[in-house]
Amino acid sequence: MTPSLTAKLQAEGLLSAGSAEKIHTRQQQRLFSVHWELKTILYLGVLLLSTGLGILVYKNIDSIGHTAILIFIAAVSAGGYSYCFKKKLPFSTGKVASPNSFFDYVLLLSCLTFVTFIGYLQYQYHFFGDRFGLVTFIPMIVLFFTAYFFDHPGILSLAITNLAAWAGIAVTPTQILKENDFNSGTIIVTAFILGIALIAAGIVSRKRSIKAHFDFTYTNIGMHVLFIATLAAMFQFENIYLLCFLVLGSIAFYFYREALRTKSFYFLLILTLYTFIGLSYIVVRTFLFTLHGEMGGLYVSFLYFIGSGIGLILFLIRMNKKIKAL
Amino acid sequence: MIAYNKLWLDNVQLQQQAGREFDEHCISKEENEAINQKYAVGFYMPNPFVRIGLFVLTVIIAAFTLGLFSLLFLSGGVESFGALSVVFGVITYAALELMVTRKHYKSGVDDALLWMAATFIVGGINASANVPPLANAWIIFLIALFLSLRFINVLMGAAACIALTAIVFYSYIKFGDVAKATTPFLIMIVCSLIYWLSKKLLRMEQWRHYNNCLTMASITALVCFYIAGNYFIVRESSIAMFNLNLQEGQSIPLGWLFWIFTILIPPLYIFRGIQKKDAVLLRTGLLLIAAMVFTIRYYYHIASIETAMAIGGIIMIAIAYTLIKYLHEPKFGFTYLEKGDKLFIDKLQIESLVIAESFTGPSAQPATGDTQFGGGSGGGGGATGGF
Repeated sequence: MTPSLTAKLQAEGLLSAGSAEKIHTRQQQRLFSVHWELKTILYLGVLLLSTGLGILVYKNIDSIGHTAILIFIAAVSAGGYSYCFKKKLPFSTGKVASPNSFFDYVLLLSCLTFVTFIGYLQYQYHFFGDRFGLVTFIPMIVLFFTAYFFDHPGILSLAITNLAAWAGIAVTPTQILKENDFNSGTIIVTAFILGIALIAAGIVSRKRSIKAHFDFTYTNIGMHVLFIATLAAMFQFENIYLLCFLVLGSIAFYFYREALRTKSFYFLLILTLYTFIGLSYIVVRTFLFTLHGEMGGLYVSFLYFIGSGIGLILFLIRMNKKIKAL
Repeated sequence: MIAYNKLWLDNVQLQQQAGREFDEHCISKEENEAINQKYAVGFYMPNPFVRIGLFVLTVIIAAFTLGLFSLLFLSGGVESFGALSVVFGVITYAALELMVTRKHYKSGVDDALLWMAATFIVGGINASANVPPLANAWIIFLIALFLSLRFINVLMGAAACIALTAIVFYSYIKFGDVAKATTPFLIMIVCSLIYWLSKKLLRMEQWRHYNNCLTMASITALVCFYIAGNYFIVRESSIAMFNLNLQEGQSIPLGWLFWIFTILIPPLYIFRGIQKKDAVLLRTGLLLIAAMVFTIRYYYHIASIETAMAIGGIIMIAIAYTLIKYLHEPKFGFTYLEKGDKLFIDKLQIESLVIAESFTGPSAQPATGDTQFGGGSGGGGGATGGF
């Protein structure tokens, strides 16, 4: 706030003298925060270093020797973990702040090297034999433990990604549609169950107050997986697509309640868009294929998109008002 | 000129400033509310997520309306579609004006209509006639300038700046070989002028509503200035556009000068940014460091990519570590502490999603007969190699 504006507001009686003084002091200090710049540099540094080292090791595997590499990776991981154990603040089921700005990154590095370690062990020495599930299962357990023990939502996301990979599904934002073969019934059902499980995990976290702030991470990933699985089921299982649409509607209704409960515009947006996709599928399918509407069907479909678009806009505007007023 | 209610625009800014002071605990909650009440805003400005939803839905409505129009009126080829598209663009613009009178401001609806109007008109003109690049640059410049002035749209401001640079470029290269050789310098002068002008206007009271547009214009000018002097851009565009005959590894005339520009401009931006405490210069400079590194690596393979990444990573961690330690207590007016403004980023836990995304490599699990799972990816960690 500029000094002239502060003076004006003070003259109008909107600001007390104390507040004006505080604003003035802050103006004089005029601190320039480079928080995000430094954090981004740090993050990119960790990303570049871990990637670069990974490729270096991969390329020089013949000259270094597997055992040496394994020992090195294990040492990095163990070193990082021991640092974190030493520095960490006491465990609590609530939110625990990190002791310093680097803690989170050291923890991340230790976790990642541990995952690499397990993968390497299997790749080179077939440590787990043919039990491939264990190769993702053990890191998953370690990641979940780390996320809870040190309170790190980023590692929780990694752990959930690992859980999904263990079940055979990719869930990260760019991979969820690209990597999964949603023509397979097994994948759809697995994704559906996974989605429900994640949402349930979110509810349990919240109700039992065990790291209640992890609720969003679980619910967010679970919501997308569940919606996408239901839509995939609708497109895939011809016979029961109306039933799938009912399921989609119930999920949407559940998140509608959640959106109102948590005052979340984000949930509102997501549920609106997914439901819109499902509804449009039904309408277009009905007019163009079931009724063989030909050109007439095309006209009706276009009109439907325009009409439903306007309808949803009115819905969003109304909901915006409603949630704001809560 | 501005379509929106100017008093409300002022009040939006005032409320934002008051909100910042409130976040910094300088003013009390009651004071903040009193200010918001006295300087009320009548705009319809929904939550950012609702804005995204309204944007998407408006685009869908407009696209299908155009589709319906084409079904009803069209029988011909691309040209008639182009003409229809222009007409529809004008209709979209009318809808935009209407929505603005209905108090929409950054509601997603007006953003979408603005973009659709511009796209339909420019796209339609290009579909119906074979427009030369210079004329196209003029069309885009005039439309973008008008829209950014009338609807204070940030991205339109950037588009106008880029189009203006393009106009200068295409007009100047017509003057023959000497002109072609000196194009980079002319572009750099134009960008300096845009930067200087936007900085000047930023300080002027009567241009206060355009603050964001002008900031965007200055960023665009800084980036274009660098692009114009960048060795890679100059060399490759000379080859592609002016039929400059160069052998592999052969340099361009005045190559050394462009190398100096390529390497010195980003640190210069950063230095000035720190000196002036100018976030725009600082951040642009940091981004352009990446462009500098890529340019150098494109021509000189000093080290293998993985060595470069590892060393670069170590340097970046070291710099960040030192500075964070150093700025733990504010020094010279710089601090590592977060500013009060709560970002979108925190709310969505974007950071944790970025971590999950960037540290999960495509390392597929081997599919075996005895387990029905498999074929999933993720859990690889570490070596993504996506660079």
